Amino acid sequence: MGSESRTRYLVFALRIRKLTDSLITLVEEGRYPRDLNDGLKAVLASLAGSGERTRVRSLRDRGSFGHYENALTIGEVVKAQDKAALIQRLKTVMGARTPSTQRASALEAIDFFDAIENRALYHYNHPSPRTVAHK
Amino acid sequence: MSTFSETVRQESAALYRFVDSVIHRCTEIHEYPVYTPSSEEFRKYIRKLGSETKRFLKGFPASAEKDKDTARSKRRKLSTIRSGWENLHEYLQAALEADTLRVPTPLLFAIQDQINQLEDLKDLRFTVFHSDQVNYLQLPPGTVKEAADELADVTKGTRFPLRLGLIGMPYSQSDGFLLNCLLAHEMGHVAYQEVYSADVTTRVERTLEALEDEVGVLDDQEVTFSLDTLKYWTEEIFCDLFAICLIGPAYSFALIELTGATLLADSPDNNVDMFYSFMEYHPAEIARFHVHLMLHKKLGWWPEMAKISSPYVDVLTVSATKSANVRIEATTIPESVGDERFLKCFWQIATWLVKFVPKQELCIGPHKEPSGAVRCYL
Repeated sequence: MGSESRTRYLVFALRIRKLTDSLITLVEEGRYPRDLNDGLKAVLASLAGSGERTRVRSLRDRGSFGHYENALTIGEVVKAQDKAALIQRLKTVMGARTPSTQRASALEAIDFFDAIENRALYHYNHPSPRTVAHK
Repeated sequence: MSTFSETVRQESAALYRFVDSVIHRCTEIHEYPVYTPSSEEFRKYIRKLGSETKRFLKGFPASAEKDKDTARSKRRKLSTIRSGWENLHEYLQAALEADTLRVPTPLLFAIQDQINQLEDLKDLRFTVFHSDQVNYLQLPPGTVKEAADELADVTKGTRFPLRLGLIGMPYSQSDGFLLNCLLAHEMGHVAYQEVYSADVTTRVERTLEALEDEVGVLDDQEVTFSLDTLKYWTEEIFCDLFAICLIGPAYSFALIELTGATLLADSPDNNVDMFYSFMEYHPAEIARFHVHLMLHKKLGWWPEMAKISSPYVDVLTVSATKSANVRIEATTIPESVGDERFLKCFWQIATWLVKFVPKQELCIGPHKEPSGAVRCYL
């Protein structure tokens, strides 16, 4: 793997961490950070498209998460979890009716984001060839 | 067993010591060596970000203990910050070694002066770092800036200086005039990332959308892989053409010399050597030379160049026919697309770039001489 791809994993881990920090603010202070919605929407778009047929045009909804390294990492993490439940959790964070529901969903979302960050750092520290599997 | 509080304190202190030792390298320089203003700016930036990270780490143990539900996730953040600093660490020493006596400072300033004449690029500056790789073209400094920005955001620090680009060169080549013409390509990466990537990306997306109409919608890993790969190849061609516009045919000659591509001039057409291979991040050399040839013809250089008896010119001449034999290696294109269709996309975009790049009005040519510092330098 070239160092360009390797650094992309690091950038991805740091971007996910930024989102986690916002979720932590929501949990600890009950305050909804301004930039959280855009970040969650980008992750939701990536999550919804993970493992699915995806149009080039729709990659724009993923914002800065539209790179191959991001799709691969999210795909690896989602494989071990229930994708529909994850999407529901993130949607609840964005539009929960009560603070307690929002807090509970945010805590679950933090676990998911930690798994992504951890996996992205794994790729950063253990480079392998950048390749797409033939179906 | 250690308490949570003790563990977090110990982990924060360890990272604090690491960051402190990295930025110490930036503070122990006094009168010698001397750096260009942009290299000084890079050095000061690292020192500033380091101080901000240290301040963040001082307050970290108290903040980590605020809520037991989030404490575990917060601790994980320390290892991400450490990775961010390890990444900067790789470039810092390389930048410190590139003082004014070890980089072609006049050439750098001359090319920068030429670039700065364009309104969109007028405040672009470059800092050089040394590499132990001989190939200038395999250094990926673009993502370093992105990583520094993200590291700054998670440590409440300052983002990377605007319009400052990092470019790499082999540590041994400060006196190599011809090979240093390749620096114009590296500067092209910075110009691309700062100004032109949006326009070019739109074009790449359109080309891939047309492919999608032909072969059907790909799955998300295939489509992101295809888009990224085409973008990597496109950026390389953009930077080649940008360099030719800036310094003329010397760029093509330097690239041929660096890659040893003069072997192509009299080799059989069906040769399986490396010059025909599209790799993960780079188009095949023979394809690049063909695109160079298209631009030399468009700018009016070619009639003059064709008169020169030189193996460099021979390579450019044969590239027009030999580039039909390229292949894709070291990466796998989605099966439903196939290599041939994917290469067709590349050629469509490359042909478009030959028209797009010279529109940026930075071209020298046989009928438009270089101005300012480049003219003085040459």
